[in-house]
This record gives sequence, structure tokens and C-alpha cells, in this order.
Amino acid sequence: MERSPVPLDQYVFKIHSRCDLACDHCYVYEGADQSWQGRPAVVSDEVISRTAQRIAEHASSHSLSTVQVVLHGGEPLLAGAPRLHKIITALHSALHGICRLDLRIHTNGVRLDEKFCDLFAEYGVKVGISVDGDRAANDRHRRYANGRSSYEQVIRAIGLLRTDRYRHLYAGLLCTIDVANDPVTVYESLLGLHPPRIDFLLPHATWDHPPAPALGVDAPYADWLITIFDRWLADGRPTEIRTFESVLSTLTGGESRTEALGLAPSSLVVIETDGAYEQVDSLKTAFDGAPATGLNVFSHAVDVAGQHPGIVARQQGLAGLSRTCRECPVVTTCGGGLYAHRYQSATGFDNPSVYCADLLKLITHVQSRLPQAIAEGRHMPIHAISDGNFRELAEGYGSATAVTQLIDGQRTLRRALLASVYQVARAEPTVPSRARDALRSAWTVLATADQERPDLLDSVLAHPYVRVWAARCLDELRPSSASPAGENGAPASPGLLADLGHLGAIAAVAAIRVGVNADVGVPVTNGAVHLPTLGRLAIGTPAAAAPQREAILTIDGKAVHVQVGEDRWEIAVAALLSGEPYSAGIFGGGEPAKWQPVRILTAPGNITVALEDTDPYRDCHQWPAASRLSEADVAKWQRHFHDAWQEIERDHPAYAPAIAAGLTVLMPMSPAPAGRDVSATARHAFGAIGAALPADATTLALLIIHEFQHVKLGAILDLYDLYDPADDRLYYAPWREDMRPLEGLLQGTYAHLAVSEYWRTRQELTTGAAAETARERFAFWRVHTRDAIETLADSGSMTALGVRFVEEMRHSAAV
Amino acid sequence: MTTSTDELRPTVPSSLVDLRGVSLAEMSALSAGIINEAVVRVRPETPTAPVEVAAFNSAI
Repeated sequence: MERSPVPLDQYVFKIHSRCDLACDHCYVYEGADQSWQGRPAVVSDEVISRTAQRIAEHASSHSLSTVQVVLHGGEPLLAGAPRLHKIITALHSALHGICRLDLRIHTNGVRLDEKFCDLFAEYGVKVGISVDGDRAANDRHRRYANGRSSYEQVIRAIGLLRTDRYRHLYAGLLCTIDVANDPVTVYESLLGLHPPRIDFLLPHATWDHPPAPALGVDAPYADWLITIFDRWLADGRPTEIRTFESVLSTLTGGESRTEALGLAPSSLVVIETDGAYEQVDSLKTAFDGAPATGLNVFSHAVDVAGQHPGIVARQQGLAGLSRTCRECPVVTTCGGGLYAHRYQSATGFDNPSVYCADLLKLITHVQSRLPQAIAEGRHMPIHAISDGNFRELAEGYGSATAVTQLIDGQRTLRRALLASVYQVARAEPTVPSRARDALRSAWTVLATADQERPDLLDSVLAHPYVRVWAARCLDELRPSSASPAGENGAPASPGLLADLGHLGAIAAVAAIRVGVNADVGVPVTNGAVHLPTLGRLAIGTPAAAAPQREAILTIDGKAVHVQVGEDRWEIAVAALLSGEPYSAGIFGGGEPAKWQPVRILTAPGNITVALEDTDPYRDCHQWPAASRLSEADVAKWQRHFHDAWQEIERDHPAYAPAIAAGLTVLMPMSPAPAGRDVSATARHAFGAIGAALPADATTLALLIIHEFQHVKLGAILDLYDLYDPADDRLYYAPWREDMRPLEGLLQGTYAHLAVSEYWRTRQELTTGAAAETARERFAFWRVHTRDAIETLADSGSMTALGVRFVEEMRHSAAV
Repeated sequence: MTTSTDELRPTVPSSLVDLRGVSLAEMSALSAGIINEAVVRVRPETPTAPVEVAAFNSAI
């Protein structure tokens, strides 16, 4: 059964039908369709206003949220800035209040100058440039009519788009493949232009006019692309390559990002300079008149064009493909290739692509590089907690095994967050090339360390403030945030660049711990080079207005060489890993520097916890972090922690296994006001508890038990939906003056479940005034906790699993 | 026939895909969709990568 036509939300608007280049592989002028010769050179005012009106009508009647318009040609810049201004403002004006306009221009770039760029910057028009690789590759086809090279002009145009002023307009590069060019040279030369995206385009061909054969090679385009794919993957996907991203996405159940692959229906129509609606213009390669619809913007609504059989034919998914394609194992990824490439005069479009062998080979190769589970067509495994462990956790406790299952989930999340930061940052056009190169270098070091010793890399990534850092980077990269990266051409903020630079610090520690040689850049933050989990090298306080500095770390297995400007220091790896402070002999020419290691607290039973007072991302606990502690303060922490742990293990044994398995960091906070104890956790800092050092070990024991409840519940919520996040009501929490959101109430209740039990135990173990105090507090917290449990149960916003969780808490509180 | 007790032990499944067995190098071969599915569990507002672009792709 034929699908109903889908709304059209992509428009290729031909605004000029002539070109200033005479590329011999151009499908517009060298293809079978020569209709350009009968069209006006430049789009008229009437066509502009009618086109804008038709698009707006269609967007409004179909409630489209976004419409994408690609200004195209010929060469669209030949229309000139005044006419482009008219086109752009007409589209913006017509679509204002109806939907978002995603406006782009595809150009050969030779005429691109500041005047055009200023216009595009004013209206947010993204610019894609056609370039086929290095000079030799580009000169093979992309020349003027007199045979002159266009390379210099194109590179100048790209250089303009790479400046701070226009970088946000740089949409990417479009490269038409010629297998006579060396693929690695083409890839490297394009990558050297730092595009946010590269499109490798198969040259248009049909079964009537197939691509030129390569002697003795069955699938030359696949081989060419595979060479680049393998290199791109090894490089850590330094930029988006749309063909590869689409193959990866569709192989893992996602959508294609190009009309050339996948089964998604086409929602695109072309509007020519005379206002004629046409089908996708790659059909110009099929036969003369192939893209024509006989419809135009003056007489026909977009809806009418959308019902044209030629457009509907490209919306039929699997049913619209040839039998050969329908029976092919990679059809959901390939989708029969580009529609025009299926054409044969005898059979029309009921054929596989003329690039069938290439597409099959490429897709099969990409599939072989996927993680095993996906390559074998199996679903990826999912995280789960045994029923018994879930019950223990819900009751407020949890064995080491239960917490280990929570830690397993955290390992997945940390890796996903790390990869997400890398992928989002490298796709962000306002991140300068240098920062992107640094990210790529750091990622390569991390991947190498992971290959050698994944356990040691995990010990670095398990540091609680790595996830805090990743979340902060993603916050800063979020387009909708208050100071968005990339909006209105604002360059990435120094804060974001310093945060992204911290990936280098994480990579440096991975290299040190695993023993991998590496050169990485690390930001100097607050006068120190920070190495998470190890400590920091304090190199002096910078002047307030000093620009952001960067340290270059060279790690060679035995030593870490640190260079900041002209200053150099050297630290032995053994010294870094020893956890001992290190000052003598550390500097080799610069200002004195001091290695300040993270100190480790210990307790009986091989319990070790880092006393984290160096990490630059630790100050995330809603109470200020303390500055570097003196040795005397560390000694106090050690005594309190030792005694607190003994008390927990002896008097509160139900809580000890979970804490022993999951607590990795105590983060000293600034002293609390007199008479108050201060402690806190942060959702992204799994395994860390922040606290101001309390007066005695007994109080520290209570703070640890209380806060670790939050740590556990945060990790449970990372795995499970216990409540409806759409519930934005505020709830009464008996222990607070302010009302709390549902998650806040759940967190408080879960924590006070343990606090109640703590005081019940204290009441049994103490005598006199201490016992009386414990009795009062137990009564207070038990009543409040029970009340809060009932509020949660009555909220109507707990999921089925959340209802069970609350029921287990209720059962525990009743004892 | 013997069956291990582990196989019979009920579990509470999460919707979080287990990426522990995926090396960082292999993460490069995962689509952004799989990574984002994991990340949005803890950060619903996470930006997606790569950014959405028009499907049209003809050079001029």
C-alpha cells in the first residue's frame, strides 16, 4: 500500500542558474537534463515572494516546527548581495511566527567575501563550500572555463569562514569523490581546513551512464571510502563525515542524515529560478526533463507538488525499492542509495543503485567495525540489579554486591559522558581548531590507555569529579543555555575552552597510570596544573587579569615534563604515584613549583578514601570547598575518619558494606557556622561526600551514613525511573522550612531512613544524657520519615517501580 | 539437566544500555544515538551530536 505524502520541510531554492566555474563533473551543466538553458539566470522578485509565501503556507498548514531552505544554483553568490538580502528577508518575514527557518547556502566559494559573510551573519545563514580535496584533487575538475584553477579562491573563502567572526557560519565541506585522487591525501587536506562536517559525494551516475570503471577493482568507491573510514575511526572521528555517521546511525537503529542512504521518506522539493517545482535535482543526470513536475509556485501550493508521483515515489521506504534491494541484508542502511543512481532507461528506477557493489562493501565493512553485539545483530546488553539487591537498597541498606551493580552503571555513564563531550565539542563550530586538535590528541591518548589497561583507565574515570566535569562541559555546550556556544557568532568562552582542556588532564593521568607516552595540553587553573586523582602542581598565583595559560605535559614513562611558557619542571612518575609531597629538584629553570598530592585516609580493614582538596571541579556540593588543608588538618581528618569508620562497622554494620564498596572521596568543605554540621553530595559526583570536619568522629560517622544514602539513591535514579519527572509540584518535607520537589523529598526521606536508624542504635548503645538525646532524635526522625513516606506514596507520581521502592522504605521504617 | 541459580534469579532491568564492554576506540564506532540514550538518562537536556542538517547533499 502506498504511503500518504509526507509534508515537505526541505527546499532547495535555485536562485541563480549560471555558474562562474566550469567543473567537468557538474551534474547541472554536464548532466542529461539541460533545462537550465531555458530558465532565467537569476530568480525574480515575484518568484522570491511567491516561493516564501508557498513555503510559509505549507509550514503553517502542517504545523512544521522547522523548515530548511538551501540556497543553491548554479552558483548562488552570482545573485549578488542585494538580491540575496531580498531572498533571505522574504523567507524570514514569511515564516516569522510560523516555524524556525534553517537557512543554508551551498556555494563554490570563489566569490565569498566579507560583504556576503556579514549578510549571512546578520541572518544566521550557514555556508557549505564545495572543494574536492588538496590542490591537485580540486584542480582535476573544479576549474574556470579557461582551465584556470579555482583552488586559491576556495581556500581563501574557507579561511574567511574559519575566522572568529564567521566561524559559526561554517557548515562544512562538500567533496565529490574521484577515485583517481589519493583518499588519505584528500581526507587530510580537508581535515586541515577544520570543517565541522564533510560530505563525500559519489559522482552522479546511472546504469545508462555508469561511473568510469577502475581496472581490476570491483568496488573502487567503497575501497576509497573505507580507507578514509578506517583512518577517521582511528583518529576518533575528528569531524562529522555525514556518509559514515549515517551508516553508523542506521546500523544501530538510528536515522540516516543524508538522502543518499537509509529508508526515511524524502521530504524535499526543488524550486527553480522560474518558480517551477522540481524533484530532487540529482535526477538531472537521468534523462532530459527527469526532475520536472509541470508545477510551479504561481499556480500550485506545495501540497500539490508533494503529491507528484515522482516525489511520492521517494517516500515509500522499503516498498519503493527494487526486489534486489528488498532482499538485501543491508537495505535498511543503504536504502537503495541515491534515487537518481538507480536509473536505467529500460527499467526506470526499479533497480539497485549503480553503486550497489560499493555501498554493500562499505556498509559491510563499517558493520565489521562495530562493537560485537551490534555487528552480530544482537541488542546491546542492559544494566540490571538483582531483585534481592534492589530490595536491600530500597530498604535503605545494600550489600557490597548491590553497590557494585550501581558502580557498573556509573562506569557506563562515565564512558558515555566522556564520549558525548568529545563528540559534541568537536561538532561545535565556535570551538577553535586548536582546541579541537587538543581534544583529539587527548582522546587518542585515552583510547590507547584503554586498549592497554582498561582497569587503570576506569580507576581514573571513576574519580567522582570526572563526571562533574563532563556534565559542566555539556551544560556549557548546550545551545539553549543562557550564554549559548555558537549563537550569534559568539566564540566559545574562555571558561568552556578551559573546561574542554581538562580532557587533556584526564588523559595525562591515564597515560601516567598506564605507562603510555603522551604529549598533551592541560589548562593552568588557579595557578596549578591539575592531575585528577593524583594532585596538583602549584606553579604560582597568576595575576588577576592574566590570560588563560596552558601547560604542555610530555609523559615518557619515567617522568612528566611540564612546560608553561618558558618555564619547565620535571616530576618522576614514581613520585607522582607515591602520594607523597614533592618539592626538591622539581623545577628546572622556572619559578619554584610544588607538587601537592591527594592525601589518602585509611581505616582498619584496608579502607582507603581520598581526601580530595585539589580537584578544580570539586566545588559542586552546595557549600564552598575548603582550600588546601594543612598537614595538621589532614591529621585531624585521619583520626576522625579512622574512628568514624570503626564506629560505623561496629555499631551500624548494615550500612558498612555499601559504604566500603562505594565511598571513594571525602571532600573537605569550608568550616560550618558555629553549632552546625555541614555535609553534602552532588548527583554527578558518585562516590564523593563533601563535609566540613565535625567536632568528633561520632558526628562524622552520622554524616557519612546520611550522605551515602544520597550517593546510593542518585545511582539508583541513574538506572531507574522511580517517579514521574513531569510532576512539578512542591511537597511538604517535615524537616525543612521550604517546600521540596518530588525528587528532593524522595532523597530526604531515603537519607532520614538511615538517620532514624542511626539514632535508634545510639539510644540502645548509650546511657544517661546521650541516650536521652538519641531517644528524642530517634522519635523526631522516625515520625518525620514515616510522614514523608506517606506523602510519597500518596503523590500519585511514583512509577510502578517507585511504588515498590516506597513500599520497601515503609517496611523498613516500621521496624 | 542442571540450571545455574543465576539464570533463575530475577532481576530488575534498567533501560540503560551496558557500554562497559565497549572500548573508547569502539565508542567512536557507536552512533551518537546510542551514546545519547545513555547520557540523557542523567542529563535530559544534553545537546545531541552531531547537529541536525538537511538531508540534501549535492555539491555545486
